Order: sequence, then structure tokens, then C-alpha cells
Amino acid sequence: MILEKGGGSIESTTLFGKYQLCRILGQGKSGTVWLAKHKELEEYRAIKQVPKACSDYRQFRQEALILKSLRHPGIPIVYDLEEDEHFSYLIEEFLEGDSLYALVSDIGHFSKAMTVRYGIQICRLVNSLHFAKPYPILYLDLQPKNLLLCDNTIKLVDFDHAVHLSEADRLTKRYGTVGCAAPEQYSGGELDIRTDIYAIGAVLYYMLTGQYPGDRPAFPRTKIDRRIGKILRVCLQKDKAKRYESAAQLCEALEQILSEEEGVFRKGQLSSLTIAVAGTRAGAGATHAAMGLAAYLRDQGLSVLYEEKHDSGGVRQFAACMNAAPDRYGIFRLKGLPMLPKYGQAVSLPPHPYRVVVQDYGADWRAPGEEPGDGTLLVCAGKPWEWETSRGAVLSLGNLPGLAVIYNHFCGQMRVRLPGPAKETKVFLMPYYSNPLISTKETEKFYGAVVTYLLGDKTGGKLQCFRKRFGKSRGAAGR
Amino acid sequence: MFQKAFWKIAGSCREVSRRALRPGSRLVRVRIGAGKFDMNRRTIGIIGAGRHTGVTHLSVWMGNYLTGVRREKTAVLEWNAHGDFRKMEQFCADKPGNGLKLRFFRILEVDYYADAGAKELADCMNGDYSRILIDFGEITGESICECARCDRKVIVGALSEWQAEVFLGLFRGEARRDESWSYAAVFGSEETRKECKKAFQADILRVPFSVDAFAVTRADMNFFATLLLEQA
Repeated sequence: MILEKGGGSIESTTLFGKYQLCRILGQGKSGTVWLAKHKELEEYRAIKQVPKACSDYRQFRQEALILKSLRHPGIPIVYDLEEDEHFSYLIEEFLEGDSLYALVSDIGHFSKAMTVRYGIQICRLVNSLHFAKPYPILYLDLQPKNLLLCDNTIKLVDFDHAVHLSEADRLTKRYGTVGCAAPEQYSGGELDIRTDIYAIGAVLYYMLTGQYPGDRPAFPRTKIDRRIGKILRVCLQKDKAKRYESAAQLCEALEQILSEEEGVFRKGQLSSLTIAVAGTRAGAGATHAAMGLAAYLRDQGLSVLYEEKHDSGGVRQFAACMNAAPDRYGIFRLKGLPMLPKYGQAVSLPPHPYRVVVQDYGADWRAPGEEPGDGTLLVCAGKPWEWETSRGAVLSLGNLPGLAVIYNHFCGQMRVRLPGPAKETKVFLMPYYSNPLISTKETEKFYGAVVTYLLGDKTGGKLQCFRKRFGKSRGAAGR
Repeated sequence: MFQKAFWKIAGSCREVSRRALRPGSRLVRVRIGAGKFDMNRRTIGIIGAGRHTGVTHLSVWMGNYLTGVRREKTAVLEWNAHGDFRKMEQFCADKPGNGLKLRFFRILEVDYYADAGAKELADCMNGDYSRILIDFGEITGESICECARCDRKVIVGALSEWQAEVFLGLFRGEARRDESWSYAAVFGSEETRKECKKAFQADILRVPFSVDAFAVTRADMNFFATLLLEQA
């Protein structure tokens, strides 16, 4: 079947009597990937279409055969292999998510915590390929564009260049991505498991810095933590004998960093969290604070959702600006942060899978009191002529467990005085930051203090520690 | 009656804009009452090529989409004599109109105006509605002219063999309609739809099957975005 050109005709094209084409997901040198809907099952599929005349047809069949033998949550399921006069089609599971390349492009680079957590997932995924039964597989084209983040799970797509380990050295042509391919892929040296280890190192380097390592990678202390730098140096060795022996060994090194992490974000400690943010008036900075908090939690490696609970339509405007479409949960992923706009009662969507949620109530500061979560941030306008209004709101919410008050645009020389009944409420001063979606050292310190306070309040025993560390800092001032 | 009211309110905006573009004109893009609304997509007329083509269902459903998904304040006007909105009001209104003070009733944040006419339209256009949907019922000589005055027009038809004639008749012998017109069909075979497209170069959108006009799913969002030529 030859597909007609132009967007209008795609919608009326049905393949094999059951797959209705929706749109193009991607186009490459070997073919086109379509999003299609199974008409009977009403489920989406990704259909890879490769011209039979294409010289890469052999690789296409190879990809199908390799994928067929694999069963892993991080690898798409192959449903079928079809063909017609001109094309071959691989019908696969449709994975809804963004590539690591797109995510890094959006926010510049990942935090250390995000890199370590996603790095561990990548290592486990690649290790499962290397030890696949009965024929171990080398992926050989690991790069940020082939790694998708779907519901905080890393998925590996595009097995075009994957080969069975035993056949790796019989390849007549070698492919790879410049920046991620190991030196032996260029030089014609022997390929083995450690070829993929180099690529994992390159991907981790890309996540941390937003750049590929190149021939002589630099390890700036500002972006690369000393311990991760040490791991990356081993992965990116030109001599593969000096690299890690296996992805499992690399995974262990990354897990060691995770286990040494301190605080409430340590592995397994935080299973779910809902924090409500509200402002005492429109323009007080509730949305700014809520997005900043969500970005901070994201950078700690958590799968966090920003949920709009007011009618300003901010998320929709942001999405329109970024030309983004919602996923099946109605969630937009904007600048690397999942955002759920407020929908009306008529909208019927499946419940989202996020367990860490930052709810933005806008100027409706009474609402968090009606549905209390694990913590509430009340953002108060910080000018002295607005203090009276702010005090009223603080007094009204005073009994709410896990309440923290944030003063925004606060006059530096003044001191906050809360009325008697609200004396015990913790007060923070929000530092100025122009972009809430990009964390800086100052915002990390500020939100770190806020979250530690809120979670300390929930789990007990953290508050003293917090007071010692952040009580006198610029970003977080005590009463 | 309708023509006068409509032209006075909606047409005057375009007239002023046209005048503003004349050389030497001192008016610079003045739009009456256009403050926070997009005047190029505010009124949407929905009309049926024949009876029982699902115009009312689509109007109610689209009202729920615009309010629920786009969060735009929406009014749906029943500009026909079928009396369906009155029945709907008795059955499920959150805020029933008492016939004296309120001329509309509200269901899931959408305002419905039964037995609406020029006065209701004028009131809605003077009000704070971002979108005004008009259910014109089936096509008549008068209603199609009235529908043509809306910013966006949707003709709903059926492609079933015993119903298709009215729909296809619209494409024959008529001047080509501009892109503000959309065509949609609920019933009928895919082959007929494709043939229509070939014969008349008209893209007829398939309206997805919907049991409940008061429920909008993720897949429905794509359909409405395509129908209204907007971003999903």
C-alpha cells in the first residue's frame, strides 16, 4: 500500500483492515514510524514502515526477530510483522513519552539525582539484553534519542542496529551515533558488552551536562559530582579493558551513590506525597512557588506531577505556547515537568499514575483546608501593606497540619510577626528566581528547607536538623 | 429579525476591522466588544443535513468539550423548534431556569438556552461567553443562511444509503465553501465517505461514536480539535 501524501488523507488510511493511521511519530533513514489505532481493540500501536527496496531491509527483519525474543517492561512488545507489495511493517507497542534528548533539550541538563536514578534503569535494561537467553544481544546504538521516559520508566526503542553477540564481529557495516559510539565502533575493533558500557557513560554524561563527551571529556565540578565523575571516567575509557566489565557492575556503582544519599528522598523512603500551594491573593506567587517546588522534586529524581486546581488556564496557555499535546491522562509535559490542567466535570480521563503531586490552588487559599494533603504552603504577599490580609489567611489555616508560610517579595530589612495563635507556624522567605522550572543552587536550598520541614513534620525528628542547617540562611528565615 | 440582530452585533466587528485596513483610515484594529474573546471563532453554528443526524447531540457534546477541556465559558442555543432543550432541562439541569428571571439552565457548567432567538443571541454576545454554539436543527432555506453568518459552521450529515442524498445534495451545484465550514458524519460506510471526498474534494470528518454527550474522553479531544481547527 502506498500512502497518500498530506495530513488529510492519513486519517482515512487503514492498514490490513484494522490499523487506522493517525499521524507520523518519526521518520528516519530506514523508514517511517506511524501512530495507528487498532479499530477493534481501540488501542494505539506504533507501526514501523520500511520500503522493501531499502537496503536496510535485512536489518528490519533482524530487529523484528530480536524484539520478538525479548520480554522486559523497558522494551516495546512486538505484536505483528506484515508486508504488502512495497513495504514491510513492524507493529509494536505504542510508548507515550519523551526521549531523554527532548527532555535534556527542554531543561538544559538533569540533576545528579535524576541522572543516577535513570542511569540505574538504563543499566538494568542493557544488562537484560546482554544476558538474554538463549542469544545475548548487543544494542550498539545507545543514545538519548532512543531512550524514552514513560511514566518515569526508561524504555529503549529502535533496535535497528542491535545484533546477537555471537554475530557482532561479522558485521560488514557498522552504525552508531556520533558522540555516543565507542572508539572501537569507528576503528573496527572487536565489539562486546563493554561497547554498550561506553554508550551508557556517554548518555549519563549527556544527561548531566547537556553535551556529548567528545574525545577528551571535561568533568566540570559545577555539573558533575565527584563520585559520578569517577564512574563516568571508567565508562568512557578508550581502552575497553579499563571499562566496567558489565552493566550490572556499573549499576552497582550508581546504586552505591543512591544509597549514600541523605534525607527524605533516599530510596524507598517517600512513597507518596501531596503538597497544596495557595496564595493569599492573585499574583502573590502561588503558581510560581508550586512550579518551583515541583521542579525541585523532579530534580530529586521523583516522578512528580504539577496539578492546576484553579481556573486561570495557565497550563493550557503554556502548552499552546510550547505546541504540546496532552497524553492519555490529559497531562502535558512542559519543560520536563508533567502538568495537569484543570478539566471540567464532563471530562472523563483515566486516573493519573503519579504519587507525588504538587497542587496549585491559585488564590483560593481556603481550598487546601477542605482537602488537606501531606502539607500546605501558603504564599503570602510580602509587602507591609499586605501583611494584614496575609495574617488573616494564616490565622484561618492555622490549625491545618503541615502548614508552612512563604512570604514572597519580602522587604529585606523587616521582620515577620505572626499573631499569637499562629506563632508556631514556620515562615520562609522566598528568594527571587525568574524561571521556576530550572533549579538553581538558591532554589534548591530554599525548597530543600521547605520540603524537609514539611516531611519532617510528617515523619518526625527532622525539624531540629532543619533548624540547625537552614534556620539562618538567606532563603529560609525563621520567625 | 435574526439578520438585523446578528449583523448589528457580529457584523459590525468585521466592518470596523475592514474600515481600519483602508488606506488613510484613522481606525486601528478597533473591534467592538472583542476585548477578551477571539471574534473569529466565537460563534459556531451546527446544522444538520436532514433530520436525526445528531445535531443536538453534537452541540451538547461540543459545549461540554469547550467548557470541560478548553475551560471556555460556553452557551448553547437551541435555534429550532424541536423542544429538546426543554426536555433536557426537566431531566437533568443543575440550575433550572424559572421562566421569569433566568432564560437559561445550566448542566455541568454549560448554559443552555431553549427556544432561543435573536434576543438570546444578542444577550449572549453582549455577555461574557467565550463561545456561543447554535443548534440550528435541520437545514432549511432560512437556517443555512443564518448558519452562514457564524464564525465557524459545521454541517452534520449521515452517509447511510437512505440518508446520504440530502448530504450529498449540498455539495452539488454549490459554490465551494471556505475553510470556516466543516463537514461531519456519524453514520454511513467508510467507502461512501471516501467516495464523497474524491468526488467533491470535501473532507467529511467521522464523528466518533458517543453514548453520552455529557462525557468527553481523550480521544474525543482529538476529534474536536480537528473539527474546530484548533490545537488539541
